[in-house]
Amino acid sequence: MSRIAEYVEARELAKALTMRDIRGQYKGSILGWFWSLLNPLTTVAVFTFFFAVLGVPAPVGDPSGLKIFALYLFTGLVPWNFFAMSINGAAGSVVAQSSLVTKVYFPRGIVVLSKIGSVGFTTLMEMSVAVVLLLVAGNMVLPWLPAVVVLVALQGCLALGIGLMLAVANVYFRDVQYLVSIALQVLFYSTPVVYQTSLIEARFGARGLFVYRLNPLVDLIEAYHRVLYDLRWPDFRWLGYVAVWAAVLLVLGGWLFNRFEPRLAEEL
Amino acid sequence: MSAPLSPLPDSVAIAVRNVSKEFRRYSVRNQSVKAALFRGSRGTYEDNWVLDDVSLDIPTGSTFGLIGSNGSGKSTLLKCMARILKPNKGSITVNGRLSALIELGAGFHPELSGRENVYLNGAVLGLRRKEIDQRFDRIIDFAGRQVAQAIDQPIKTYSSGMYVRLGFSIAVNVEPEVLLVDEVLAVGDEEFQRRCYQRFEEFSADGRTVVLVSHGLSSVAAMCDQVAWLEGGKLLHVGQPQQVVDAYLTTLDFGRSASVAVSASPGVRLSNIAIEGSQRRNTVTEVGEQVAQLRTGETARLRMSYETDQPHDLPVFAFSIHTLDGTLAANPCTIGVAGPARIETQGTVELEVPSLMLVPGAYTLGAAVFDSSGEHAIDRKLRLVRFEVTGEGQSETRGITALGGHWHGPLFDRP
Repeated sequence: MSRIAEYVEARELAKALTMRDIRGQYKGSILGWFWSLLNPLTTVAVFTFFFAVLGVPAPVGDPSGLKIFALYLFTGLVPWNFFAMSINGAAGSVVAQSSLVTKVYFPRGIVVLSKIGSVGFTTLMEMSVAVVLLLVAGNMVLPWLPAVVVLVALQGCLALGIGLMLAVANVYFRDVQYLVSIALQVLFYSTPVVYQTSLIEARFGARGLFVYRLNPLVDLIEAYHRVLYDLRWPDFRWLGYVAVWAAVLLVLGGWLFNRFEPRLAEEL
Repeated sequence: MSAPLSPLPDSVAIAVRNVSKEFRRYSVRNQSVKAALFRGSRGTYEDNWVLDDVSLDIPTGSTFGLIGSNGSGKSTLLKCMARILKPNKGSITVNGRLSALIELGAGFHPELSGRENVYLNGAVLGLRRKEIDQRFDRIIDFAGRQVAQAIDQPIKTYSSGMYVRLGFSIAVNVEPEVLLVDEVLAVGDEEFQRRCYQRFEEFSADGRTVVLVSHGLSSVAAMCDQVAWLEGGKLLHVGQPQQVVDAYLTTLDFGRSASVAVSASPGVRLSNIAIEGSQRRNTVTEVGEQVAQLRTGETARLRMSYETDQPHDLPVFAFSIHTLDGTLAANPCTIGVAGPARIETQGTVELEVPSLMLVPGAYTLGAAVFDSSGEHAIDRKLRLVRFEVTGEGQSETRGITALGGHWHGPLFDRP
């Protein structure tokens, strides 16, 4: 309990470090903020081009009736980027801030939190662009935005739990960060970011789909697609499954981090 | 995290109780998953106690110094007090808000402006935004005009001096009840250092506690109310600054550990650096070393031998005498004296001092030879030879120099 009080006490620091990350990120670059949008836009362009060449038909939103591949990709890529960047950033966060960790005392989890916070800010920017584009395309997503907020919060908990564990692991083994990048690549293709889950069902049947959905990211990303592209409610039972994952990982990550925290400064 | 402890009395700012800290000294360290998997272990290490059962009370409102040689554990103790490191055994309790000055400008981001970094570093040091607002003008004022003018420039454009001044200025304006300082004062120009010391004095005048880790023994002795001496992780002595510093100094083996020998360009090499009095007496130090012993006012001869591969024109020779805490006591040289016009092969240079007016104490002798400009050292051996000065019946015992004058006045004129 006193630990939680300590984190509440250090909220100003969390805010300051998050702002530092956000402000410092694109300072001194010509395009500035545009960089954070360029990455997903490029990915969208590349995939749209290839699927067009391959003749893959764009998914049809049900009930929205939207049929634009680029927007389907965008609604999956923004949450995927949030996940990938926060996991990657969180894993390296304690090592990256070693000068701070070895010179000043504060609850170390702040470093992980603020990293996820700054990635969350980038996501917010990307999401705003996605919303504008969807509106332009005629998808009235505004009533669905509260659901998006809930999804982002759920995803943040998931990322924080994993991030806390990886941040500690990376202090002891510096190549964890590279392993994470590789794992994320595999995860990217085993999650319905650029394709539809119906593809899995058609190929592997209902049982195959069930196994596929054991990956909590599947229904998380699927929920974004449904809410933003299809304009319908996600599968709540499976979303509950995702929430259980998030809760377990968060508790586990918090416990692990707390246990190793006192040694971090000397292991760095 | 910490076990419940009985509350400290207000008279104690920091209570250190039986603190031990162990570091792992890795001989093999597998810092990657790959290496750890292949070799089947995270590495081999031996446990190394950096702090061994240290207990002390730091009184509220005092300026407290921690001294000891490198690796004695003084910085580790400071980091334990700052909660950066966690002791393996024992406990440390702090009364009041604590701020640690272990690195200046912790968390500074080079791309952000000075102003943004003030808020950032303030937050790192535990200040709320509103509190930084209140202190902002004072911080900039203390950091100086140069920093004030560049406050909205990215901090990467600052000179190292400006960087340090801003960092220090934020730290001292946090106004903690307990301030921990680790040797950061060694930076900055003399003017800034003077203001820093002044600021520490104001701190203790306000009843705040300052804990100082330092190598600058004379400053510790001058500033602190109490000094603790750590050696090999053990607390050896706590007490009056001058006493503790003196006790520490007598154990320093300057003959070996602190000699600085710089042989820059090929050319002249110095050897046989020695001092002797008219009586040629020697004494044996605590570490079993033979050192010359002289008396205040005695005739002394300082000597050095040189050897050279190539001829040098108009070389400048110099001796240096330092006190044990590193203050230069004397630095006679051959500039302006009819020195040798040219040296070839080898020879000896001697300086006769008719009366060695050093107060009793321990000193070190060094020697150097410079090129004709007197600016570039060809060989320099600083603090190489230790010697002692005694003074039976000597009335002058403090400072460095014995003036050896004659007193006049009604009381002195009796036959």
